[in-house]
Amino acid sequence: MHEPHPQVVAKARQGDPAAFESLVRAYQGDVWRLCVHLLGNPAMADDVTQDAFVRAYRFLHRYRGDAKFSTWLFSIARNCALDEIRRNQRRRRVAEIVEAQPERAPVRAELGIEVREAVTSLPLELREPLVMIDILGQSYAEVAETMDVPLGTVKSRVHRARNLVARVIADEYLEGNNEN
Amino acid sequence: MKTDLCTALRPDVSARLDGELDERSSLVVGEHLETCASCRAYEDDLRRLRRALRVQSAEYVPDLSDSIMSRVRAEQPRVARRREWYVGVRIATVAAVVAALTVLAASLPFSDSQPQSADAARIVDEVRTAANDLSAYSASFSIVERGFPAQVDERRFSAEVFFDAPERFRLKVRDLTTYPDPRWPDNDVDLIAGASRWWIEQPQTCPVEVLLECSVPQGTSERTVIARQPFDGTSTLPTDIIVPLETLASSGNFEVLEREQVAGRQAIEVRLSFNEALPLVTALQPAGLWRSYHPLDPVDIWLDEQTWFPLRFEVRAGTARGRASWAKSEGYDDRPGATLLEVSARRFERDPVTRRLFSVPKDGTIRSGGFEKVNEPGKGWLQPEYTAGLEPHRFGRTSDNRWVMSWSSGMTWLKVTGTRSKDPVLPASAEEISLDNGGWVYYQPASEALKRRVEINASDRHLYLESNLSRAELLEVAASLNASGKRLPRAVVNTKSSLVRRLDIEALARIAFVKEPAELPDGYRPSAAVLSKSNTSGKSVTVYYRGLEAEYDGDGIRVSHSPGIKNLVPTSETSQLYELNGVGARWLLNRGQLEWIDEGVYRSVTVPSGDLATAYLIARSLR
Repeated sequence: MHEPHPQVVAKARQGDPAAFESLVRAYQGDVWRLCVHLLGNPAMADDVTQDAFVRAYRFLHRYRGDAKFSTWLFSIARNCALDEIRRNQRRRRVAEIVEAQPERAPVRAELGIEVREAVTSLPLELREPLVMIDILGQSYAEVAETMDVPLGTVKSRVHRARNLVARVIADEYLEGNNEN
Repeated sequence: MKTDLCTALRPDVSARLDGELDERSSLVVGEHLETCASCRAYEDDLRRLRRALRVQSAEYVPDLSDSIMSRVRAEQPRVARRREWYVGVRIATVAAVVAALTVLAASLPFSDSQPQSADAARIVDEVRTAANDLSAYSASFSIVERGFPAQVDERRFSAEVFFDAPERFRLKVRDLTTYPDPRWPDNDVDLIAGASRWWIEQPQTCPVEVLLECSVPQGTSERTVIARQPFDGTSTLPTDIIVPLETLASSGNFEVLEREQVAGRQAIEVRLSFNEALPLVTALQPAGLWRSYHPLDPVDIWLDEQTWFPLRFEVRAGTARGRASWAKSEGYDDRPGATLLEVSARRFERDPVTRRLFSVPKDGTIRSGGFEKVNEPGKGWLQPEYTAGLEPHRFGRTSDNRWVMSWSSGMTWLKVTGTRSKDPVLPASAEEISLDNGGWVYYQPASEALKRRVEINASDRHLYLESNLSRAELLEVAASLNASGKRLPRAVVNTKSSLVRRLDIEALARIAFVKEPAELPDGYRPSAAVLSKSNTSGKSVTVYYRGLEAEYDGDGIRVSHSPGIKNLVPTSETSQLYELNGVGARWLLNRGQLEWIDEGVYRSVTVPSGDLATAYLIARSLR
């Protein structure tokens, strides 16, 4: 993940809208991806992405530069998404069902919407590390810091998350085949 | 064939793909993969899955920058003020779920709702009269601030204030601190308001946390407002430093302490909390870098008994529940009881001030308030019959087709704005009041920038009244306008998937799952209630409780009840668990929200100033 020039961050912190806009342009894609995977809904992701940047702008003066800017921004976006999830109380625990499934079929690499749905179906504690690592390319240490869990927990959660997503996709793949 | 060893190694297979496995474990996994087809297939699956996730995530993403930036631009003044200590997003270290079950002792931050004492009521009356009668003022102050950042424990300033009623104001703050490093900027602030122009100059710096690493050139920044509307809250006049009218008249709960001599004058000491004294404490800090205070930090003010000018005031570090964690999150190391701010008047006069002092520069960023003065009110401008004894001040039109009339006396003022426009957008927390004339008005207490407001939605026009008069007087002014306000529709949102409805306060008693607080801070009462229904989370009722006169911190206190939510959703936000009437309640520090499940109903109490003691007491008293 590329990091912004410190001077751009400093200027934005002073309230310079042009500097902040360049940060928006650089990071809105990643923030939106994080949100869409945490929320599973593009319209909600649009709203939450906007909220996250407004919140980031409001609290930019507190960014002390001791974490990477992207890590800081993603933790804000994550909090906004969690707020939204709390508001909606939408917890589809498909994972609990699929956890019981014994074997799986190979994963198709060209999956699109199924992947997003499979990710969204994960419990939040597994969904978050998966999205941050596989989609945003963050390191285990960064995710551990953002989620405030030990490094080992990140490792085991991302493993469990991948396992479950692989099974959900495989199930859908099999179902699709059976219909044919 | 999948074995126990495979099961044990699979997390490592996954971590190895991410390059997150140490060399030794990586070798072990590599060895195993050589011989285990099942694990190789597994690794293959994971690799494809990762690719699928990345390919899919590289799809189209919307460009939201325009809508983000228009919201950000609307936020700007707030960033300059740096006063968002009461909400907040924890940075970098986001989220520790502190599962320690602590029992919160009952330390009441507010007494049972006592009416104002006779002494306090008399002081408010006298302060109102003094503010009304004041025509000119000049004074100088000394300021000592402690505990700002660790490297500079004490800062000293001098300040000069000049005022010519009602709208000419000048403030000059000079930083006398010797800083340990030349990279610390002098925190000098200048503000001048003239008849219709306003200007401010402040240091241009990085935030204090990164001041020394700051790569931005140090200097000052200036802003000018031309064609300023009368009493425009966005170009503020911090007149509470002259007579603390807003501070004292709005406080529901100030304590009258003793009489004593201060600087050779007879003074009376009063005590209130920072969240009530905010207009006075921040009056000399309209810009620049200053430390912040906890909402319940005690503020002592010594008022001159003759003039009601503040001779001295102090802010001390309080001992409220949750203050220590607040201080830690802000980076302060305040000893309980320590004096954090001391402001003393060195001299003051009530003699006329020369107009030359109020000649306003036109430098820096220039914004127009769009106000164009007229001598006589235009046809169809609706004037109140009652103006609380205030005299006509400035009348005019704005560039967006509104007419503006203002009245004043000393520091007291009233503004009435009218427009022919569609229905106003009002916050859900606005209080709905039915007047004797049968009309409906919507009232909001003073905020940090704006004073008390009343909005009237008449059939052919929308009226907006704003004033530093009391709520009762402002409502009287509103009732004397020849306009009958319509009641806003009950339904705010009504779609297939969600419904938001305004509720009458009286109706709350009939809703079985709603409980009402037996204890609220002094002067607080329910101001509005909203019912929302959605397919996903079911029914929910939110009740807003607000101070009668002022709510500087935001929207007031919010209590929500949702029978459709049966569990607290796991959170990784900074939170603490407390025992509340025998169940576990979760305090989300950054949001100032206490939440719990009470006999199958989700309830939450949100306090804008993040003050746990108040949230806890309200929560405990719900019945």
